[in-house]
Amino acid sequence: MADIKADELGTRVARDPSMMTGGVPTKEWMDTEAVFKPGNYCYQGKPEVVDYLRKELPPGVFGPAHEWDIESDDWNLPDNWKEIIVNGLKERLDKFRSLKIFMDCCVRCGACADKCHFFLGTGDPKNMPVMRAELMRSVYRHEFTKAGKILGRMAGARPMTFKVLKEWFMYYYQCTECRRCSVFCPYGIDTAEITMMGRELLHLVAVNINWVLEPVYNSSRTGNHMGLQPHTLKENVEYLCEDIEEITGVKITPSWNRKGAEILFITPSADFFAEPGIYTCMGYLLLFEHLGLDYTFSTYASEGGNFGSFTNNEMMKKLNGKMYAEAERLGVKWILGGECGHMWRVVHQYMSTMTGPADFLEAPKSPITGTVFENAAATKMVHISEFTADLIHHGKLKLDKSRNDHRIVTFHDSCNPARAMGLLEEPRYILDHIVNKHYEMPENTIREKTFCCGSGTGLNTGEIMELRMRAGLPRANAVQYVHDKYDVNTMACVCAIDRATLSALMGYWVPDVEVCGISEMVGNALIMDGEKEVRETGLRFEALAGSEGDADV
Amino acid sequence: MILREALAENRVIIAEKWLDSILTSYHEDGARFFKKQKDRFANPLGYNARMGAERTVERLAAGEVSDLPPELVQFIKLRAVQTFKPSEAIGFMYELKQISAKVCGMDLMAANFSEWQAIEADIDKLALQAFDLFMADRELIYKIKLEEFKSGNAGTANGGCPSGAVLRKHNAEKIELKVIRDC
Amino acid sequence: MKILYPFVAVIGLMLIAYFGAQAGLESLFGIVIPYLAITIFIVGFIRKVVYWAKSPVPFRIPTTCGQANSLPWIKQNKIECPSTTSGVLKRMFLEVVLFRSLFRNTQADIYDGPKLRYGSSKYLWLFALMFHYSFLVIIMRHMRLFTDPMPFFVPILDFFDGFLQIGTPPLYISDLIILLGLLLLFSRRIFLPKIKYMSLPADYFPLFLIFAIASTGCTMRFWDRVDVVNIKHLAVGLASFHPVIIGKLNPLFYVHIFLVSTLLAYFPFSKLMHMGGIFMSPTRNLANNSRMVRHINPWNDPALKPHSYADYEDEFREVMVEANLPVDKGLPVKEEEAPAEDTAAE
Repeated sequence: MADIKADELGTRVARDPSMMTGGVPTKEWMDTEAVFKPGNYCYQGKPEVVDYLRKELPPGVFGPAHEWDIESDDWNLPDNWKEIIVNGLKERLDKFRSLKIFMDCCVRCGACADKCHFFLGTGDPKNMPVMRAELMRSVYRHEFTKAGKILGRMAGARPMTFKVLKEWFMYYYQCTECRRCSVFCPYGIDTAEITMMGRELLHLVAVNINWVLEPVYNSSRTGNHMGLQPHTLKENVEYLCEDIEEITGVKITPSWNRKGAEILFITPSADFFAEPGIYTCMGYLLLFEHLGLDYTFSTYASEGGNFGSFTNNEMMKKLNGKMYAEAERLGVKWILGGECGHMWRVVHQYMSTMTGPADFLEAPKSPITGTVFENAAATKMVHISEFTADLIHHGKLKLDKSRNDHRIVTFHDSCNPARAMGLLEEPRYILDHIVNKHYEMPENTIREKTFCCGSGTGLNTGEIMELRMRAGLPRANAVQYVHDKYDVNTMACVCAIDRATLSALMGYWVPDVEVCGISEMVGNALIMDGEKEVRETGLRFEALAGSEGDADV
Repeated sequence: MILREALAENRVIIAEKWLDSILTSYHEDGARFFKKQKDRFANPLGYNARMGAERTVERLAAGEVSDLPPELVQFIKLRAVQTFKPSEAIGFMYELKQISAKVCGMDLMAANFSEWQAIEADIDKLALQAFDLFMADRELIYKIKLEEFKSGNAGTANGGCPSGAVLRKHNAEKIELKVIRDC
Repeated sequence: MKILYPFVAVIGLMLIAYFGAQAGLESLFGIVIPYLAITIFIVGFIRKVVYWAKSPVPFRIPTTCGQANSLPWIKQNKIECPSTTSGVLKRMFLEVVLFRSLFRNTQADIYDGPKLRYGSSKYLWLFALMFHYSFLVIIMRHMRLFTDPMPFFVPILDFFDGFLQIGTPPLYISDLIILLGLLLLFSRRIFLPKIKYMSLPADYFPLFLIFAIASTGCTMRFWDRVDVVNIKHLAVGLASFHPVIIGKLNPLFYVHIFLVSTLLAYFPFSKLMHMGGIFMSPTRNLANNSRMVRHINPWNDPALKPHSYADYEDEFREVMVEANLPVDKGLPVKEEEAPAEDTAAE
């Protein structure tokens, strides 16, 4: 484990001002304005996409689509936009106790301030979680509390203005709902909850970003956020199977939309089409083949991730409903879920409540080990890491660890599985059995204190690449440390957004480190029946440790 | 070597003043929040910049200016993703001249003018390296954007973009074709 | 301004009571306002809690800070990630009584060498404990004034609180600690730039107010002594709804009781309600068992259905058939030849 000597850092480090930002704020926060410049905002949603989604949902959830320019001072909002927002806030206060409590209870102790990767990376004081919430609290106080109405600014209250709206748009889209602040808050105030409400309110007046809305639109219509049509999806996986055959000599033909399969497997669609997710998908394919599992993919429910959860409750529910709908249509017994972060936030904390009860399914039982997953008794959906850990524990997998010897691994806890699910040990247990060398990053950057990739909740878009690099810096820095100290060259994770965005983050900050899903390394280590005698490469056609003449094998 | 000795002697003060001057280049809304953050994981760049500044001055004093200390390299990486113009991002390197001159004292400097000229040339060398790094970092950003697009992670916004696997297949076929044709 | 206004406000309140009491308004400050304040406090507190409770908890959203209940051979962290009510109770106990979350920061010390880094956060935990517990002790000590005979714990508390035996009457440790704690909490707000930036007048006001309450209390005990017998008479009277003011009491006493009244009346409308809110925070007081037991959302809309499979198949049936994907309905007979022709053409 990491331990840094005090003298290594020097004593003077404490005294100097920050390198990240520098100047002391000269104005109070209510007096500074959000300024949009290219590179600090995501592009706005396309009107046609908003129009489509409006028709899908109950009236009012999305405001009328409009053309607007984020950098301008006129967003072309409806005349009564303030009323819409304030009424929307009222409605949400009545629907969510969490919002009321979080609006009322903060004492501004500052425990959360330096826990946010966006604050650490940008140094912008309004990125402190407490300030992010104050942006909304100030309006709440003005509209809904006596003190705020009477004392105004003295009580930290301010009316809803365009300036406030701009701030909301800027800072609710500079939060990845990672919940790290919530771990440290003495009242458990969860900025994710505030940000979700903030975004819902912005949607009421159709202030939104395309990178969230278009995936939502695609997921709803085509089944996956990429908008891949059914045949392309199938074709894609066929390509992956060809690669698998080339690498391992094993031919795999997975089934699609098959009625009567025992298990429906749902994974984030990035695993079907994006690197390095596709290698994780190859891992799944190998694992299921190894077990002879009776499972099917679905083209209709081909997206595990739920960009609806970055939009509003209604959209989240609408997208999530596909999982159960498809499970019921195909008549499977239970659902197995792939590696994903926010997908598991939704599945674990929302799914059963929103779209349950799933009476048509059975309590998940591993057909290989007979283990009944009691912890998923109601939702009937099991995480692939839980499933795999159970298999390894019962000795059901034939594994050759040394095939991953070219990888020195560190494990990145993805925010949602860590802080909204508590999935900490399963991936580590799997790692123990599939790689010889893995090292933990420093203690305050892993497990429930893990740092976000900086690009979650629909912020993984190219136009804010610099911002993402800053926001991901705390994470990258911890990786740098294990890279320097232990030669770590692989960062394993259980999240599709991580796989995509950490690749970019590592590419910039720690270029020697690759990102891969746990299941990719599981697949690579599996000794398959009828496989080639000599495995020359890993799943991404990379050279294995032995094949370079290391004579390890 | 009188001036270089003076630099070595005063390296802590020089580094400190240099850091102070770097800070003035930040936006006023930024805040001096990381003052107490010594932890390199909680304040990654504070650590890098401080260590980088000191080590740079050390190297200058020793006349070893063929490369920049790794901490400063990391720091420049951060400057490259903050909202600076290139001149703003790298300009701080030149401030090392004035600060060193002030700390060493004008008299000492005048008395050893040729040595000072050599030191100035060394600072220029360091600054140019910083500029190279800055440009390399910017190029890296564009490369990453491109990679992201190619890997299939960025296709969403335009809908229906071919997948990474399809692209790879497609590209591989094209290369094969090209190889065949070239033969 | 953020600091000055609340400071002036507290000074103003003190002056009002000081001169008001001397101007013959003793019963106003000694009886009417305290009753009024306690009424506002109780009604306001209950109303606030009811206001919170009226909103449902639609989703089970605990922040998990440890290993969840999973496979039987994986050790669950039953307190930081509870899956049962007893686990939640333990978690809440640690949170409410020991400020667990604020304590969390200390761990970083072990790994990061320089102690200051997370030290500052550990101080916050320490200051908070100092303040809250000394406040609690002081409130309990004051029970001696309101009850006759006093509850058994008061003399015991009194003994331990004063066991330093410095001066006559003996110095209370809790008095020292609360003043120190307040000073430290206040200095955080003015010396740490980020805390200063986020602080509102509403953060300084209670600090000044409580500081004024504690210091007037101390003054009355150590320097400007008051007639405790008469005060007890009034206090017991207040508690038994037969308040009488006997003799001329020190105006400082009226300042003290007026400030306390202000605090009570201010309480339900301020951030001080965190005292109630901490028990109701959905990220802390729920078990992490949402996949095991279905949580009910009262406003869940069953009519909101996903884009249906039938619609999906209608849109993509042709390509699905072509790709040998199973379909529910199949293509209309007429068009069956079209795709075949296409493939032939290719």
